[in-house]
Amino acid sequence: MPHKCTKCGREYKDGSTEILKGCASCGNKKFIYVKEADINRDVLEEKSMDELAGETKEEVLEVVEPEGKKETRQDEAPAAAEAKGGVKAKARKETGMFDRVETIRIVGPGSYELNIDKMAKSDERIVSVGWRRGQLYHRSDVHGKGRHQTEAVEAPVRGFFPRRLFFCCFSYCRKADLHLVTSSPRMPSYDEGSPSTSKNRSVKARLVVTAHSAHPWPRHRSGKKGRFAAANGLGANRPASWCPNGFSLLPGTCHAFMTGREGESTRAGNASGSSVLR
Amino acid sequence: MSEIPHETRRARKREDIVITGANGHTVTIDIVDTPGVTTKIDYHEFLEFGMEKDEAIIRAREATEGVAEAMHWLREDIDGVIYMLDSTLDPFMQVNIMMVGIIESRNLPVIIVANKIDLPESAPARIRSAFPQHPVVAISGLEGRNTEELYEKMIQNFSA
Repeated sequence: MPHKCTKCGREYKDGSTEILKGCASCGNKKFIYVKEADINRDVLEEKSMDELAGETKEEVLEVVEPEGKKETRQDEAPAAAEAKGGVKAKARKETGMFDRVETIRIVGPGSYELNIDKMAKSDERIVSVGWRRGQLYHRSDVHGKGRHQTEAVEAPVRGFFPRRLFFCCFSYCRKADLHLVTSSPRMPSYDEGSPSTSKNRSVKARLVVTAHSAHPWPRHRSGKKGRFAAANGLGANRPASWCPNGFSLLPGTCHAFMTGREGESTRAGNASGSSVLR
Repeated sequence: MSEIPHETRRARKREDIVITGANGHTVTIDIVDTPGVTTKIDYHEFLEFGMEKDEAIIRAREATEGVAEAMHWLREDIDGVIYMLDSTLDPFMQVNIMMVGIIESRNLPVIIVANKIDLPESAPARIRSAFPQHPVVAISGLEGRNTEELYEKMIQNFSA
């Protein structure tokens, strides 16, 4: 039982979130609910959508942009004009909520954006999210079934993590899939197979993360480029913006690999501070 | 009842609730009260209610986990959904459209409840206009007004 644009008559299936962005054809933000029986009446009887709305007595629904969003855009407008060639403004353009790959996006401590559509479609169950000691991380113990398509699998990285494992993704890769295979007996079994973790049950936890690093080349305290000093202490020296996304798992022998878009740089760091690169 | 949003942050289940309608029909249900679903949670909104920052951040995290839990329940083996909306707010919001769409895609019967009709600014008619394809019951959870009608609708819609 769909909605139709009152201006151009474009039809949107019921429950479609497309209409929230306005009509894809004409940009109009007013829609009318039409019953299945009336769906082609505007064309067949050569009536305007307004006439149809009058006949069916359905209320015209208008998509109203949230106040906060309006203000943000207004604030951004002058800055955008100042930006060279508008390139910065373009780069800053927000990804639509429902175009994002992640289910939960941590904007900052205590601030989250949730893609409920993705949650509903996914078989993954998110158990927890969180932050610790003032340092942000995404402790999202996701039990995936690996159904998602990945674009390119890069070389696996391995490491032994005696304590809590903490991974962060950073670098230029805006969208990356982080896979972990752990032998931790406390994780549920998932027969995905891992290269050498056979002594215990294995699990392949899969978390889709998006890196939004303000510092594409975070430096280790030693100053080495590309080193990542997450550590169990969660890097007291680093600002939270260095690793806005990451997650932790229970102890165990872990193998991890990251996948990202081809041609993009992806990196993962381990808890010990010895950087694990692809 | 708390004024602070996201008071319910964990799903609560009650089993074997028997509802008897005016015509004598009964329906026995297990009901799961899930946290409210939203697409954005920010601890700042809790600060306005006088909450400390640390407490507000924890609440935001728990609320986020609660939404994930609510969405998880929607994937479980359930027979129907009571979708509760605040009738003082615009019903034509992305979260409502998405949730109704998700529920419909699972072919689940849904009753939309327009809550808070005790408030003067409530407009349950807007909810009816937004979702004419589903039964809408206007109630006041605070005063218990019109809950009988909701029970009747549950018997009609959720009886096998």
